[in-house]
Amino acid sequence: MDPFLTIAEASALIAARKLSPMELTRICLNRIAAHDASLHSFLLVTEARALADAGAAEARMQSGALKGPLDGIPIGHKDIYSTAGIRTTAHSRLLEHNVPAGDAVVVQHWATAGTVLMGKLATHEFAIGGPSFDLPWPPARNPWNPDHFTAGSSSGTGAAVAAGLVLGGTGSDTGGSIRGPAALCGIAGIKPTYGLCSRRGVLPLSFTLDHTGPMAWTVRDCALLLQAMAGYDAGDPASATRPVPDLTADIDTGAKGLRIGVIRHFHETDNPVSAATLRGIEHAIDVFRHQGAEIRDVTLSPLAEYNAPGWIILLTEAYAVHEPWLKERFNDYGELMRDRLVWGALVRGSEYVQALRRRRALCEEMRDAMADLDILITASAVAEAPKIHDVPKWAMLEKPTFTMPFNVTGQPALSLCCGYGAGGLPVGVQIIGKPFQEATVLRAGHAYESAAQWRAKRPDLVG
Amino acid sequence: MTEPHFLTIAQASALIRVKKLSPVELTEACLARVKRLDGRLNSHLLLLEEQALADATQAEAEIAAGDWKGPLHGIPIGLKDIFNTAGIPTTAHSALFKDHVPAEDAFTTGLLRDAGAVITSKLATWEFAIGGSSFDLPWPPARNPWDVTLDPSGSSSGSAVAVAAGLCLGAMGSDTGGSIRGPAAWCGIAGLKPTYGLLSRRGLLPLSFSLDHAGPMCWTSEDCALMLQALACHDPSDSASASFRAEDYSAGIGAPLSGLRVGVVRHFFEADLLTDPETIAALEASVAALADMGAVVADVRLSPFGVYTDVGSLIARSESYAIHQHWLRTTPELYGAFARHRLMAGAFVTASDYINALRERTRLVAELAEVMKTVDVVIFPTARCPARPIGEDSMASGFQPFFNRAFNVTGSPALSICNGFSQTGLPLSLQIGGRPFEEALVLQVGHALERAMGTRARRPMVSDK
Amino acid sequence: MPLSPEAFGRMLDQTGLSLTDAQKSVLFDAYPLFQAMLARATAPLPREAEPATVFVADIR
Repeated sequence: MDPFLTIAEASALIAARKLSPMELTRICLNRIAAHDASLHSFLLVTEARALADAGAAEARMQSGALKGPLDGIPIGHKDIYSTAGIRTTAHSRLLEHNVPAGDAVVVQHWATAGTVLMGKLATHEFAIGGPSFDLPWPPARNPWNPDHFTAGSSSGTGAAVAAGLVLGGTGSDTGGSIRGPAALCGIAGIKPTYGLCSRRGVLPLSFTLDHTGPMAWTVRDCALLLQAMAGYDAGDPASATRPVPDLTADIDTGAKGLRIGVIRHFHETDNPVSAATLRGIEHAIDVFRHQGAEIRDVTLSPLAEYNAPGWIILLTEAYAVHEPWLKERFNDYGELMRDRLVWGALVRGSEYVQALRRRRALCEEMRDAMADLDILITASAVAEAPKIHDVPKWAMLEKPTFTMPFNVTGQPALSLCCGYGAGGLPVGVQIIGKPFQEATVLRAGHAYESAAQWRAKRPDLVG
Repeated sequence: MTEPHFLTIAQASALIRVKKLSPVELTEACLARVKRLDGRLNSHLLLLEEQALADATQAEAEIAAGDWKGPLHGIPIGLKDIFNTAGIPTTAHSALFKDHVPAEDAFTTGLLRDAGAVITSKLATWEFAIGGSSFDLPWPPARNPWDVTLDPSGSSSGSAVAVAAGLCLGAMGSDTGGSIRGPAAWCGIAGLKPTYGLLSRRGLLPLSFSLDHAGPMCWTSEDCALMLQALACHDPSDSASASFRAEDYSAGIGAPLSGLRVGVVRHFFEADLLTDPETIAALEASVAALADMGAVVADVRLSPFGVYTDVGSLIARSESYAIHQHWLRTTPELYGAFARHRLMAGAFVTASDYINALRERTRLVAELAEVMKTVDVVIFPTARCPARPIGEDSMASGFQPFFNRAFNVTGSPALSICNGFSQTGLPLSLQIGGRPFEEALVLQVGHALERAMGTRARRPMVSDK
Repeated sequence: MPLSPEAFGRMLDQTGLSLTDAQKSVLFDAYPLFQAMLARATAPLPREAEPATVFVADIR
């Protein structure tokens, strides 16, 4: 069996000419061939493109012209990212034959950095309807146990990264769609600050909550991928003009001196998490304390107060995007997506405005709560992955998520693995920073991850 | 010499600076005129006599001591009664706010005080800046000084009336769908809706967050520039306050127009909304005057005016209903009928319509920006016709008298000036729109046209009986 | 006041979507959950409370 490499490891080997990008790409293609029939993480494998990209990277390696740490690294894109000349379906019948003319801006950025495009990855339909069994493609399965859910909506990216089919991939996160699958698939994923990464060319779900971001096996890999994704894009009206700092410069400096707030009531009272999740969070806190961080509890509005305006805004904006098709082709959507979006039709303009006013009040609360803190900690997901057939249709209405608050506030939030629970399934912890303080979040995440050693274990793939 | 109350701010301040005019005398003249005439005009909800005299006395002492603060020092200014004044009632012309006394000044109120202005008055408005010229409120509606049987329009009705009638030399208005420019047009004064984000909205009672603008209303464009100079200041507490470099807004006053590219949005008044011939004639005369002054005039096309109306109205309805919903449900009887009906219309806008209106707004902003690459300003009438009788229910008739919404939707600056008079002696109006943050250019064109059309010599005659 | 399934169905019809009775019934069962969330998101605020998104006049 070929070894599982992180991006950082592979790129060091490539730089030292000890690993050929072509060889690495073939390893990934072989794994896809071996496992993806049961994982369903790919909607499309772009083998010819991958080999061409790898060949070009290999030539650069040989001529000493490598572009940087992502050169020759096999990646995949969630299938809501437009790829020029390559089918982009949003996992939906409505776009079954959609072939965009241009790349999304961040797709272009990664290509420029030398990545090898392996294919397009499964998602929930238009990043909201799933896991669904009534679409042209099946939902992705959790590589830790294919009977279980990956979480969504960046489900294919979560599964493919965990299974080593790619070394990294794009996700998008409107209410937790990067951090949920990162948690349930046992990988790392960061939702950056709203405006840090361009959304142009990525199919919209909810304008004011949509974020693009990277997912990878480790926090350091996320930092490398994010570095190549971030930056101002004049074509995205929400794009931030500020310069992007070096995200790995201080990543190895540990947690010493960090002021950490634990939003204990989120995961202990507002939506109590599983024993393994709680254990993982406490473990992370212990590691941080041991490294010299200052830890204290913080109290915010209840989790549901953050979720309500978030979901109302999301459903409303998503409905506005899809309204013409919902009126014409309702039954071409999968049941989960169409039924969820109907709620958006029942919201009045004034109610949407009111939710946006609530949102500002929550942003102010969060800003004040973090005035003398560097990061916050809570859960990423409530528990280990449920069985894929046990996912409730109205989960979002029934229980508040731990991820939505940071879509509402727009601040950066990272999910990473903090242990393994029932049935060996992974659990995740969430680390949240102040706006545009990704470097601090990544530094804290890496500090815990490198102390914890959870990264030594990969899913035991059968078949 | 002109009677003090009919001086422009520019004239008065030049005299004050050289101590040929006393701020106390000027203020006394305005106060006396309010007492004599406002029983017929109803432009004042509150006359701040004692405080105004004290402020004028202080201004006089400061100027005597050589501490002249600028062109507003010692100048009587009125505030539309949605601008908060610390310790002074701010009613929004509504029974709901009858006893409302804010603790703090609006940001712009504070800037006027800092500039040494003498705040004389809290002025009539349409209820919550939306109602209408209503007769079922605790105070009567303001009346048009050119003919008190006519509507001054609104919602900054008191501001326009008071300035036109010489009850104060300048006033603050607010403009969500034309509430500065409409009454400026029908009362024959100059009113500027600046770029969204140029003037702070903090301490103004909100009507529609993304469409609300504060702005100056004066007898001349030149005076609007002087007021704007004191008012344009970044406010970190207003989320919409823009970061900009304040410039000399009077820089273009009196400067030549040669080479200036002027676009006439002809389809607004020739195709989109039927416009009365006298208004069109005044516009054509203004176009001729601009050409005489060396401007290059051409027709330009924007989206049909109805598109702006729809977009602006969907946005305003949703945002204002969000603000008022709680009180509409709990104390509907405290609203006048006009405000209640107009606000209630917000209950029927779906969120999807609101969001699509915002998306269409983005398109309209981009469309205007493209057009404004080919011209420096655009012009079209402010009002389709001169002032109409007060008490007409415009909601029932569906009559839309103004071309104002467009620039609330795009957020770019728009100035209304008086460019002529009807045969019956009523003011006619022209609107000048510019690129974002190019107020100086818009005011330059306004000033040049006021001069060329010779409209500033004629004041309304208000009888005190 | 609880909404009847018929009134709920009419409300859905007004949106312009074409749903089958079975589809309406599934949504009707979850409507209380949605209403609770909507009420939470739209609770009264002070008049001065501003929305989170801000209009910008000079779109770059």
